[in-house]
Amino acid sequence: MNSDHRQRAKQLFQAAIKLPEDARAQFIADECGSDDAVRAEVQKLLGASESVMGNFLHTPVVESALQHGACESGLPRTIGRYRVVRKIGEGGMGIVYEAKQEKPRRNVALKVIKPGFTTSQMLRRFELEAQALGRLKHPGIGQVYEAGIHRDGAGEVPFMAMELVDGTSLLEYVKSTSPDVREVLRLFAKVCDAVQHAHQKGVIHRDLKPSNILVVEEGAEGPRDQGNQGRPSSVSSSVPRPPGPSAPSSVQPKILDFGIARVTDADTFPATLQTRTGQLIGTLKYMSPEQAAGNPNEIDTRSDVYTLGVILYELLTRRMPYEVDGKLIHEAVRGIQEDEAKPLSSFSRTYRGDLTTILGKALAKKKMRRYQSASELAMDIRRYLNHEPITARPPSALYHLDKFARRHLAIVGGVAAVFVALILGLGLTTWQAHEARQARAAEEEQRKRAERRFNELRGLARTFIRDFDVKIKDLAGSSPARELLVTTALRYLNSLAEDIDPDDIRLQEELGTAYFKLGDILGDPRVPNLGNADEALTNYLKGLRFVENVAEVKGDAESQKLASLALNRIGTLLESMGRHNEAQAYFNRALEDFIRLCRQFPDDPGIKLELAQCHRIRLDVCRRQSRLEKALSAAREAMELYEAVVESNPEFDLARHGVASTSSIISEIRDQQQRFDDALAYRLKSHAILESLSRDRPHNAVFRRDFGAASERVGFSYQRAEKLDKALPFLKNAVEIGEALVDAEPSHVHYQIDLARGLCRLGEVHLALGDAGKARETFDRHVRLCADFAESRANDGGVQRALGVAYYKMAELSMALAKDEALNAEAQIQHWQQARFWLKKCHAVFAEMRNRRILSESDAGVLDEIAGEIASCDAVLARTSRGEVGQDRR
Amino acid sequence: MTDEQDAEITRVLKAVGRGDRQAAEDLLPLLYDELRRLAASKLAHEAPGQTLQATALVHEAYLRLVGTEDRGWDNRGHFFAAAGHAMRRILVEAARRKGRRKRGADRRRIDFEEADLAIEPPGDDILALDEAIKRLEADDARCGQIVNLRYFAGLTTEETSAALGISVSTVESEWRYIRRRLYTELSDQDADQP
Repeated sequence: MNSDHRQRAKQLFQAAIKLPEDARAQFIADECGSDDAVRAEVQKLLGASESVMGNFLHTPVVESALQHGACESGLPRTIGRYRVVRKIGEGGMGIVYEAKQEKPRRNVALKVIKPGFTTSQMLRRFELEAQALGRLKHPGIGQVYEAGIHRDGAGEVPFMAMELVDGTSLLEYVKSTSPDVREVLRLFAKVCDAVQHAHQKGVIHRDLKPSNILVVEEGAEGPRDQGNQGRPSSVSSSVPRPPGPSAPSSVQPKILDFGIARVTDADTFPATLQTRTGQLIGTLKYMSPEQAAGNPNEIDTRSDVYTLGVILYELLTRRMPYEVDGKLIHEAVRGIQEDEAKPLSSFSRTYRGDLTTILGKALAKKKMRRYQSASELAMDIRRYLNHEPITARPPSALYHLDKFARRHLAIVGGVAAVFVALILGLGLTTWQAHEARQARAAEEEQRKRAERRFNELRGLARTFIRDFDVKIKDLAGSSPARELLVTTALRYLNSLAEDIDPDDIRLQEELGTAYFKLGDILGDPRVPNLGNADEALTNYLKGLRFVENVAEVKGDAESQKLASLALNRIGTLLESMGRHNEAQAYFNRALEDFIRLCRQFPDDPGIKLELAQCHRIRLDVCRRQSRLEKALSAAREAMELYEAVVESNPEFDLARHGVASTSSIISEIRDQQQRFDDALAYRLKSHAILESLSRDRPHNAVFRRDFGAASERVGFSYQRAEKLDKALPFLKNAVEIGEALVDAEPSHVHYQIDLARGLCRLGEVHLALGDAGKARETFDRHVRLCADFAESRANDGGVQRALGVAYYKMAELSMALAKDEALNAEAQIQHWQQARFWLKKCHAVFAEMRNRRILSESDAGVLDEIAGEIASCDAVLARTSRGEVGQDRR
Repeated sequence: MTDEQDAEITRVLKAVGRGDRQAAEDLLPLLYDELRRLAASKLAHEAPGQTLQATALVHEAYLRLVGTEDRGWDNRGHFFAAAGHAMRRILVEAARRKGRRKRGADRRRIDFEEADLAIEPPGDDILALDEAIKRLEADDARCGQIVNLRYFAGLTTEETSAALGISVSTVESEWRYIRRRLYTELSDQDADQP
């Protein structure tokens, strides 16, 4: 049937369907005449009634139950008795809508917890807490009208209807209107009043922050009448204002989200730490020490008092009392618990005296030392405003001493460590230097000798780390030697550091470099390493302190560059450990630094390479977020920089290598975009460069490793294109290189993973080519290798995943063998049992990964999939054994 | 979204509004990228095992790329047409990948490569459906547009009518035909296969 026929059939169908059913047959007969094809088509179309087609194409593709009641704009129509108008905002766990209520007629803010974030326990608590929140009635608190659980076909949606407040966030308000200090304090005292009201009703906020406190200006107060001009607002305008302590002010703060932190579990933060790090950091900034410590039982009204202190501090100084942004979580938590706020008086003379004292008391680390209630804090502020004496006292001398002791705990500990070292006899040289410096009366000769020893030692350490390591680091088999070297050198340097003169920048520089070197050897993901990421991080962080201090003191380009590099290095390591958010903070700091440095030194190839590296990092981030086009453009920028360096400095192996590895990354992206031919072209380019690099530098393990990996990738491309014959030599080459590298350096985990990858592919190709014997041989080696290296690395997602895959490949092999129909039932059962055995092992690996929270997002469905396959194995086994029983009976 | 991206989208949308066919082509990769990215970030937050709502994705992509500012139905229509197209392509590709995994060396999600983006096609017949739609498009381009808008971008009848500038009753009558036509073609195919 051609297109004209189709069109004709369509017209006839559309005409016929409008007729009563009994008139259709005649109509078709009249219109179609002898054209049987058209007649058949029309009849078929008419025959496909609604009842026949059922839901075919009825709901748009991939609808899920979640999308219940959604209207065309993607909003739910109603929740409870509220009609949804628009989305106001969205957070990690919840969505806020503006919604209309009929009785009383008003617009409300409707907070809804997203599906998937609710647990039954949470729902229960939600219902309990909701009642308490409804009791809060204060002009300074966004009123909760109703909280409940909206139930419909799709499940339970907890919601909260609250006063729709049209205001500016407290911090924004203060920034934009720049009120004087007294006005800020008056406003802040009102915030305290509202918090006090809630505390009296037994509700702790737990998540106070300037963005949760809106400032409504007089006259503008009340709910916004979105799209309903002229209708009088019905809520807050009728609420009487409290008498102000001084001249009535025209602004009213309103606190939102009372108690919600509790409802949503946000305050038991270490429990949720691993999943929601990013969100928490925003909240963390304002947390009290007991909250940051993560013990919900320690949280009481005084925790809110502390947070109020942080907010006031920020309002007055525009700074946080201590830095939290950009820190690792554990560092931030430690800061909150230990770092004393920089005294308010250091920001402005006007803050000297009582204000500093008030803030000091609000921000006391120990609850007992704080204001015991929000109203006490408010009262002291008002006393200050009225020039009355405040109740808070400046800390006593004894208190200061206590604080001093706490601050210097580390130093005290350091001294103790020195003593231990002395007793063990490790620090003999240090001792001499130390003694020489301490005892002024000691003989000049002895002091000189000690100093000389000190410098010799320092020189030795420097030689070890700087010169010797560079010479051996790329040699296969060198890792243990490197580790020994650097730890030995570090032990000396550590003992030197105990005695360090704070002005000795040179020594700090050396220590920084040394810690980083050791970190590199332990776990720098960019080069061969010993695979101990945790230790590497510890050393990097130790080093960072020195490097940053040096950069700050010297302020020159080279040391700044080193400090920025250090940030990137830590970021890269964290990234490779799967700690993406922490990594991101470091990357951002480094990127900013390098952009600045590159403007300063446009002709420096070293800086170009570093900038290329920054693009590579950006590239990785984009890929992780599946922003493939962005990733490609970052890759091309990096490629351009590398190629420019190759052009000007052909002897820079690193730049040539950069071209090769960037090509390889582009090929991966092209793969994701289904541009397989392009991917193969880039892989071949990368392969060619690495082949020549490893020919030019035959002893360079990095190049050889990457050459092997490139071979595997080319093999993979051919394998996918089902050009198995072409794949085979590349994969064999990859395995050969892998075996050689693992042989030379059995403890190097990356070589092992590479080899595993090559073996996996090679086994697959053998299997696909029907060579079960070679496939088994290859997969056997694969499993043994993976089991070997995964044993001691339970927290390494990549390693554990490789082991899971290895088990799975064995299962695949068994399943393929089981399907051989030439086998008798017994042999088949054996294969199925083996398949089941390997699937179980595979399942156990992925399950453990999930427990340890190292299962990647894209692998989320894998467990179900394996469980399904185990079930189908069981089904086959059950069937087959039933069949056997039948045979026996016969 | 970056300013640069935003500017690009505005440019493309304007060109699309002027009836520039090339511009509609340009919109596709932007959308494709955005949909994939959204899907990936959704997957990170949804409970395991939950499928993605393609429609919600498209609407979210619209909000992210175009914003809430109303740029008129003309642009929105073009946008959703492109989105429907992109979504169809993503699903077809997902189905192909799935198919490849089923055939071949029995390679599945458990593989040395990290799993592909898990947008699951509604059923195994998405490829057959896609083929049938291609034939439909060849006969009648407007019908193809309607399928993309209604089924893949998830627009309502009213929105589809506004997007294509045709009456609601025309959309309804065409849609009635489209469903039956595709249904009968697919069931014929099933019947052909043993």
